[in-house]
Amino acid sequence: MSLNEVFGQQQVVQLLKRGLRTGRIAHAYCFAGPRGVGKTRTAQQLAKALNCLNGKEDACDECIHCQRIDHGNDPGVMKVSPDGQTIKIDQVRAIQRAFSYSPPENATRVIMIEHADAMTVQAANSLLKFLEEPTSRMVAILITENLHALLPTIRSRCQLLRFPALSPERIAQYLKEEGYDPETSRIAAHLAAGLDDARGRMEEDEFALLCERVIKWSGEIASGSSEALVSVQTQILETGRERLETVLDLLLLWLRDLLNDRLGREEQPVFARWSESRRRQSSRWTIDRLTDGMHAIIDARRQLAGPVQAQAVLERMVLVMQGGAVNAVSRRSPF
Amino acid sequence: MSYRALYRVWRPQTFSDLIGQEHVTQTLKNALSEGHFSHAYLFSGPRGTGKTSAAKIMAKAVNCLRGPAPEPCNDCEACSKITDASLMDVVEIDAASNRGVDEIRDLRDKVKYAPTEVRYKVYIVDEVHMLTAEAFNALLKTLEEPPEHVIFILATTEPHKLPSTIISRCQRFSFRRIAKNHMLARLHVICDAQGIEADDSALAAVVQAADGGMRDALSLLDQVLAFSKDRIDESAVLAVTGSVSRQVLGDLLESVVKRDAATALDRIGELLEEGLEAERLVQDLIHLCRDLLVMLAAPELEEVKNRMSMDERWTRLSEAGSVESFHSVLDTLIRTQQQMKWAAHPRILLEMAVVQLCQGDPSSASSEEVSSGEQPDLLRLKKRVQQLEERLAKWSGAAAPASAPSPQVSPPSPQERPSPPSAEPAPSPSLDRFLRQASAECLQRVRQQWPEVLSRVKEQKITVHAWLINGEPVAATENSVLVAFKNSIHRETTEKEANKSIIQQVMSRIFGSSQQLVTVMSSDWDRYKASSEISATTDDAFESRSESEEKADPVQRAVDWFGEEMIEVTD
Repeated sequence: MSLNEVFGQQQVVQLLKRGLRTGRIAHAYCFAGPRGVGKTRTAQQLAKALNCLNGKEDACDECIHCQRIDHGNDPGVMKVSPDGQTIKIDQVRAIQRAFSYSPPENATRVIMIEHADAMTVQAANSLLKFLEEPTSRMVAILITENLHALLPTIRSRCQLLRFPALSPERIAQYLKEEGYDPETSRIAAHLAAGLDDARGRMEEDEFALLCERVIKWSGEIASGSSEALVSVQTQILETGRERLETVLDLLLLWLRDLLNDRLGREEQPVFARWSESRRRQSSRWTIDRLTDGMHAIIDARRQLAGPVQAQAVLERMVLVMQGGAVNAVSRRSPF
Repeated sequence: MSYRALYRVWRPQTFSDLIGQEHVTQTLKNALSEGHFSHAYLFSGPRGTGKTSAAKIMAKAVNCLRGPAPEPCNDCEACSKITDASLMDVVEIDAASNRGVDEIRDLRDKVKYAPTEVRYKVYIVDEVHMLTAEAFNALLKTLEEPPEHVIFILATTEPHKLPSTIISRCQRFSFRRIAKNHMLARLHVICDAQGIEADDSALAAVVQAADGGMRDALSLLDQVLAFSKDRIDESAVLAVTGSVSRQVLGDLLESVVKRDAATALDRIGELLEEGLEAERLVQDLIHLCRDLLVMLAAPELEEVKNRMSMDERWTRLSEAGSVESFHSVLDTLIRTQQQMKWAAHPRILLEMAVVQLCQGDPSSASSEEVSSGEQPDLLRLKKRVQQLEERLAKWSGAAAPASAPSPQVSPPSPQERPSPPSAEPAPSPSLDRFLRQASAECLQRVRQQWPEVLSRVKEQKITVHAWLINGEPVAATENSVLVAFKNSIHRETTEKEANKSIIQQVMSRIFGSSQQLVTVMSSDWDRYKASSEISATTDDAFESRSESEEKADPVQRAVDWFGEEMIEVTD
């Protein structure tokens, strides 16, 4: 594998390759982007390209350096990831100690810090001087999914490379080429953060069935009947707590389809197969109530991340969606 | 040697290079030229404003072989050794990595040795906020009375984490975020020196993204150079920062102003397809709206004038809205930005925000004005005149309040505006008489007791309760209560003699005096109230004036109340 083969991040790869060609490689990068878009992979390939004996702007995959880095045996390439929940100050001190020895000739040492946002405050601060003025040839790569959790002082010392989420259309295309069902893969692509994630979802059991179930539930919610509450118990909770987030994401996407339909947009719907249900359901919503409902879903999804009873959260969400804005507002100002 | 980042190459080497911090550099220079420098300094301020650089320059200035002078010569042996950090007597300590009490004890032990090559030993303690509490305390004595030959310079981004005992022992200098024009000028200098051709708009975009930190700006410039060789233009900067050009944003905003949600969403779809991030897009929209708001509110401001006057579409866009409308747009966008930080679907959030803006829901209530381009005050006046006309047409014919269908406006709480006695011709004699005597206190009392009334009525006759529960007490006098209904059938049934008497009975029992029930349609009530508000505002103004005059002389009022013989004035 080389930089060229990183899937779907042409812009970032272009930038790095141009840097390699002109010799303008900074000593600290921050790779930020959602899960599964190829940050770590790119970092690994950058380390290879920097040390490759043959290629200048990309890794050759054949020389001894490339192979050693691929196998994780190169002494000049270090990888740090959280020890338990966080990256501790001792881990950072260990890096600094390792980098205080002089490097082998011509080598560019690379330090990759995965989940850099998980650094403790002490660890992050002790990295500051090290990042600002490295003593030898080195490139530090901070990898994070949550840029906002990094210290501003750290961010200002790095060149920031943003890894955009892969566009769902491309993932769907790719999945289709791999022989999955095109309509379902479209849904999975919208749901997932990256290619691997989407493929994983396609392989889950009964993914299509789940979509069907969610759409039926949405119909019940839209009709305002209390059956929707019964379905929470009988249909939705049955899928298991770990899949509830998927359920809510599906519902959100479905509502987005309805919104597009109401607005009269041309865009191809995510749920292509259910055009009949879409037409029927969208006539029951107003645009305002749809956006309120989507807010309710996002709220519910956030609450589910905490230690709460799932049924209560879902039932409340259904009530808010059915009651429209009034319910949602009355929650915020009880008096 | 490998490539060195621009911000390391261009680290300021003299005080005059240190831009945007004149209040610090001037003080330090004066102190140096008079030889009055202190033994401990504390430099604090946000990232990339020159704290560490200032500390190093200071170390050079006091030790320069041709000094001490206001500026280091950067030429002599001492200066050049300090620049490449090879002078033993200038110690730069990373307090974040060496934060324990042991390291500080070690430092304290070494402080007493005299410098070997130059006049002063300078300790630069960077990121000092990370020292442990014990370490801080171990430093206190040394910091207060160090040997003659020692200068401490503490640098930190978070001065509030230092104990006050440390702060009080230092001369404190606060560095500011670097102003945009200063930063722009500096970037021009650097580009010229590096032989880089750069557009003004490109550098302006860099400065915008840097947010007051010079290091951020130079990192970004570096990145742009890696992206596009020796010539940089705005599109390269935007590609690197992931921002959107103002033109595209303008298109987007225009379709929002036209309330064309479908087009706006299509535009967003295209932008995201190109690899832009939803989060970034919201931030750029916020910046643009902010500029438009400033342009509208303070058109003579230099900063915005320079940026926005080039294109007349901005003038057009800003004039399409009002200050209030931009306020509410900004509110919605900022709320969305907050949510995006932790939500899993930034794209959907963005789309929802745009749809909301196009809809003009309560949170952006004044976007109606955006589309019609009228002043909100004018619009409100128009509405009121319309209401008045409607009312006149209605009441001149029939006297009784008819239950004409009208848009359901939720009535603003009457408590805020206790139905004022109006000098206008009455819409209906009973209602008007009623309002003459109505008072806020009565209403307050009725409202408090209302749930009680309902439950008593329920005990007496459950069907009456079912009708009455749809009503809402909106005004009250000593012996009557006005209840507004949204639906005529509720009102009519409540008005039936049998039902009415039950309710009145209950009310008399609860309020302790005989009470009369008066009913009204809430739509009529709203209209009536709106029209009486006009006269009320004029009355109010008059009243408040006379009131304030009265209040101005409390003695006079006391005399009025109690009579002259009861009052004794003591100064």
